[in-house]
Formats: sequence, C-alpha cells, structure tokens
Amino acid sequence: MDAGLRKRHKYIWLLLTLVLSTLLIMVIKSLNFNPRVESSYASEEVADPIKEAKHDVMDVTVVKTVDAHVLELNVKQPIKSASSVIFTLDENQKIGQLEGIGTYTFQLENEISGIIIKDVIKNQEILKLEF
Amino acid sequence: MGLDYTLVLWNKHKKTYDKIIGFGMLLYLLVFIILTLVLNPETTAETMIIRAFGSLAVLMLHIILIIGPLSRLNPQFLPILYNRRHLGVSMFLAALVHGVFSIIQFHTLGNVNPIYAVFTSNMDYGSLTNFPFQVLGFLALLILFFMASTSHDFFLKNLSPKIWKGLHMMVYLAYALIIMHVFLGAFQQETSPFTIGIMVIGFMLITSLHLISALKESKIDGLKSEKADDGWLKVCGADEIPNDRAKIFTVGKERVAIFKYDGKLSAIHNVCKHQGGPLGEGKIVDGCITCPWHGYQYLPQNGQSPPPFTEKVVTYGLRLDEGMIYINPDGFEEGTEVEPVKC
Ligand code: HEM
Ligand code: FES
Repeated sequence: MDAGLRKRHKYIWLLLTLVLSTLLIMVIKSLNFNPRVESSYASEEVADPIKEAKHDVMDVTVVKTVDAHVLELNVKQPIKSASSVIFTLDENQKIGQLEGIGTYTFQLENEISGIIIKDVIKNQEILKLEF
Repeated sequence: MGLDYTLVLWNKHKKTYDKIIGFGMLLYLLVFIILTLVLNPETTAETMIIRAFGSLAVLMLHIILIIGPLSRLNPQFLPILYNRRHLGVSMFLAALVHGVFSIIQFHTLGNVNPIYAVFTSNMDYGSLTNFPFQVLGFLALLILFFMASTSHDFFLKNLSPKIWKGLHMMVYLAYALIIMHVFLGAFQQETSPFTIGIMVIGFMLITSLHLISALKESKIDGLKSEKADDGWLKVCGADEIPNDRAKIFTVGKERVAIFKYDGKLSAIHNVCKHQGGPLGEGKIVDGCITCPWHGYQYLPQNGQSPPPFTEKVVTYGLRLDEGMIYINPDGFEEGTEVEPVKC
C-alpha cells in the first residue's frame, strides 16, 4: 500500500465505525425483544380468560391478570412460513414471533379484538383470528 | 509479471489453502443443518439453505476483513493474506446461493420480475423496523459479484492496480450493506440476543483491528529521519540491515526499502506494482528483491522486473558516511539505474 491508500483505508474505517455504530445502536434500540411472560402470572387464580378463539392451526386465549392482559397461543400444526410474526388486529402492533409448534405467552399493552399472523418477508397474511 | 511465475511459487500452498476453505465451508454447512434439524425440526429445506448459506457468507466475510489488519499487526498471518482472493470468491458463491434461494422463495410468487420485486414488494424505505432489507443484500451481492468476477490478475493488469484496488475497496461498502441487511432483516423477526451479540462482537472486532492497524501505520508514516545539510535524510547504520534483507523508512510521504546484498546497498519504493505488497518485508532471492506477497521480483539496482517482465518501481540515491546511510528523499523515475553503494 502506498501512502494515499493507507490514508484512504484509515478514513474509510473511521467513517464506517462512526456510521455503523450509530445505525446499529438505533436498530438495536428499536428491536422488540418482547420477553415472554411465562412466570409473571404464576398464580392461576388471578388469571381470568376473557377472550378465546379456536382454529385448526392454533388456539388463542387472552387472559386478564391483576396488572396486565396476556395473550396465550397454542400452536398445534407446523408453520410453513420462514417468518411468522403476530400483530394486533386493532393497531397492527407487533406482538411477537412464532417458531413452530408449542405454547407461547405474550404480554399485551391493552385489550385487543384479534390477531393477525403475517409473513413479514413475503409481506403476506398467514392467519387472521377475531375473538 | 506473468501468472506462471506466481503460480509456481505459491502453487503448493494455494492448493492446501483451497482445501481448507472447501472443507471448512462443508463442515459449517453440515453443523448448521444438523443443529437446525435437532433444535428446530420444523424448518423447511429452503429456509435452512437460505440461513445456512447466508450465515456462512457473513462468517467468511468477517474472516476476510480481519486478515488484512491481522497480517499488518502480526506477519505470521501473511500466508493467509495471499490466499484471500479464493476466500473472497468462495464467499461470493455462498452469498449467491443465499440470495438466489431467497429470491426464489420470497419474490417469485407475484407476476413481476423477481429482481424488480426485491425492490418493490416492500416500499417502506423510511422505516427502520420494516425496511426492505433484501435490497441491501441485493446491492451487496452485486458488489461482491463485481469483485469476484474481476479478481483474476488479468483484470488487475487491464484495469490498472489503482482502479482495481479502488474497486476492491468497495468490499467495505458491501460489508456495511450486509451488516444492515442482517440487522434490519433477520433480527427484526427473530430477535435473539445471542446472534445479535455475535454480530456486534464481530463488528467491534473488525472495526477495532482496522483502526488499531491504521493508527500504527500512521505512526510509522509520522516518523521523521534526521536531515543533513543537503536535504538528504540520515536513516540508519549500514550494519543495522541484515544481509539479503531490507529496512523500511518513511521518506517524505512514501516508504522506501533499503536492501543490503553482496556487500552493497540499494533503495527502492516499498510498494509492489502487483497489489501494493511491502517489498521491504521480502528478501533477495537469486539476486532479485522478491515481494513477500506473491513473489514479483525486481532488480535492486534499477527497480525493474527482470525480462520479459516490465514492472518498474521508483529508485532512490544513497550515500554512506562514517557507516551511516543517507538517502535522497527525491526519488528517481521508475526503473532508473542507480549505482549501488558499497558497504
Ligand atoms: C439478492 C440478495 C439477497 C437477498 C434477496 C437476501 C434475502 C434475505 C432474506 C429474505 C433473509 C431472511 C431469511 C430468514 O430469516 O429466513 C436474509 C437473511 C440473511 N442474509 Fe440475505 N439476502 C441477500 C444477500 C445477502 C448477502 C450478500 C449476504 C452476506 C454476504 C446475506 C446475509 C444474510 C444473513 C447472514 C442473514 C441472516 C440469516 C439467518 O436468518 O440466519 N444476504 N437474507
Ligand atoms: S507480488 Fe503481489 S503484491 Fe507483490
């Protein structure tokens, strides 16, 4: 490398470090880690199923606990799509993501009237459930 | 300088490295597929291929990007640097499999051209969480394609090393695009602290190694030699240079290698005409300065490659005064004959 090339490398990496760090911090902040709330309503007495929907692929229940609404999903059939993300029917807010057969629990910010499951890569609706 | 020569010199090692690359890639894919089958048995074959090849390509890109600064910081990594080209082409092939399968799986359902669909199926360009990240992957793949297809010495020669190097520095842009492709794409649907952690550590490793080696090089460039009355620079004692080797000095802005051989001293520009390898880190083989990177050769007294080759580098005037070497900071024309100094 000659002097010019060394300089170019130095400035490119300074720039990349700055720009990418900033972008990555922004992206990571915006990510929704959405912890599942398995343990937050351990005592069953306070859990009160208020809404239900059944389907071949999954059963869905919304449970009201002392301080929150909790969405329970029981996925019964394999999901074919590479990305299955759950959104609220009302405001199209992201709730979480499904990976296969199993039981999932997500905390909700407010009451919902249904959910939509979308393949966000193909931008397609997979399933829509209303209570 | 012709290809034949380089091939002869590095042939044996090249083949070994190529085997390591091929074997490593196969091993990674195998482990990925077994792990997926165990941990996530419902994954479809297409998804598995897309993820296996995508992550393989990213892993290889990380290795490619740390080889440069690593071999600047520690010459033991140099042999890997020579074979970086094949690593790059293999990485492109892995990324290509990933990209093609992604396009087939996600963009061929509609009635528009799938490439067009990559750009238009999601128009949410203003959003961070729903950004059409495939576009970033596509642009990166395009850059990797240009690099892989011009990686042969034929293009290096025809495009001139300067343009070629500029083209190949686009790998940094590709890296930025790919990082954003992964963070805006895969991580948006599958937010796993583990994979994000690995990518962030990889990012910090790559950037810090590049910055550390850049700072180290800047420091070397900043070293000033003592100036004599006539403007020549006093660089070192003749006995400080080992036989058939060189020491490198910063003269003005550029680096110069002063070689000692057969009781003589000669100085040439430190930068190889092939891909800018540091000639002063090479040694004299059969009377020629031999580049440590791919073995291009130059005659010490005139900086010219021995016929039939035509490469020429800048030469410098030297003089010896009470055992100390002085160098004229103004180099001669490339390939100018300079009488070696006896020592
Ligand atoms: C035409 C170009 C490309 C397209 C259309 C594309 C598309 C995609 C899609 C749809 C995903 C999400 C897959 C999933 O989560 O199942 C993805 C993830 C990914 N892509 Fe690409 N990509 C392209 C190029 C690239 C390139 C050039 C690289 C790197 C060299 C790359 C690296 C990755 C990685 C590491 C992931 C995450 C893999 C994972 O989910 O485990 N992609 N890409
Ligand atoms: S021989 Fe390739 S850089 Fe010198």
